[in-house]
Amino acid sequence: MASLWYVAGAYGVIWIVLFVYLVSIHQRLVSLHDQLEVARRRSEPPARGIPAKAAAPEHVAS
Amino acid sequence: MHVSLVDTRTRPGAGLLGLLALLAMLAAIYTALVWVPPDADMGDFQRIFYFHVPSAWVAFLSFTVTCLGGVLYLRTRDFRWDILAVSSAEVGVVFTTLAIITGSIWARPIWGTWWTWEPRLTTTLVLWFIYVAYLILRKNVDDPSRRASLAAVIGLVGFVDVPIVFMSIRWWRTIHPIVFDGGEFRVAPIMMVTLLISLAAFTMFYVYLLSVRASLEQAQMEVEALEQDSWD
Repeated sequence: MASLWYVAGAYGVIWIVLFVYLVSIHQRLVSLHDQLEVARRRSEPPARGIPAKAAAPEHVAS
Repeated sequence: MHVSLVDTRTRPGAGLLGLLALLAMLAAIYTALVWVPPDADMGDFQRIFYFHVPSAWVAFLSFTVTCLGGVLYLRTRDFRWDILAVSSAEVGVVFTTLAIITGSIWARPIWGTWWTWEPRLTTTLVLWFIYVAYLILRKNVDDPSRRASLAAVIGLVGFVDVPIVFMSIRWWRTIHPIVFDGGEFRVAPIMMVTLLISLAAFTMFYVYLLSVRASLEQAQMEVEALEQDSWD
C-alpha cells in the first residue's frame, strides 16, 4: 500500500508541475499580449485627422 | 532587432500538438500504471521509473537544443535561434526538476534516503544550477544582442555537463541503476515497450511546450523592440 503513495506522489508532482508551468506560460502570454497592444499604439505616429492630400503643400499634392 | 510576430498567443498547430501530446501522456500513464506488471524486486515503486527516465531524457534533449540554438545564434546572429535556445532551456530546467524530484521519491523506499551525494545525483544538480543561472543571467541583461551572446556561451559551456551526467554512472562507483549499458537495455521487453511509450509521450509534450514557450519569447522580444522604438 505504501508503494502506491510514493507512485501517486511522483505522478502527482509531475502533473502539478507541468500544469502550473503551462498556466504560467499562458498568463505571461496574455500579459505580454496586452503590453504588445500598448507598445504598438505608442510606436504608431499620432493621427492628425487631416487628409494627407489636403495637408500637403500644393507642389506635392498634384 | 527584427522579430516578426505571427501570432502573439500561440503558433499555428500548437493546439493540435497539445491535444496529441495530452493523448500520448494519457496512454503513457495507462501503460505505466495499469498495463505493465510490477517489478519482481521493487514492486510498484518501479513504476516511477517510467516517468523519471523520460523526464531526464527530455532534460538532456532540451539542453542539447539550447546548445545548438546558441551555436547557431553565434554564427548567424539570428534571434530566432536565441528564442529557441532560451525556450528550450526553461523547459529543460522544468524537466530536470521533475527528474530530481521523482528520483528522490523513488530513492526514499529503495535506498532509504531522499538524497545522497552520489555522482549521478550530484552532476544532475549541477546541471540544474547551470541552467537556472543561464535563465537568471538573461533576466539581468537588457541589451538583446549582448544577452543572446552571453546566454549562447553559457548554454554551450553548460552543455559539457550533459554527457558527464549521462556517463557518471559508468565512470564512477555509484548506486544508481544502469538501464542502458553496452548498447543494450537492461529491462524486460514489456517494460521496454512501456518506457518507449513514455519517452515518445514526453518528447511530444516537450515539442508542444517548446512551441508555446517560443511564442512567449517572441512576444517578449516584440514588446522590447516596440518599446525601444518608442524611446528612440
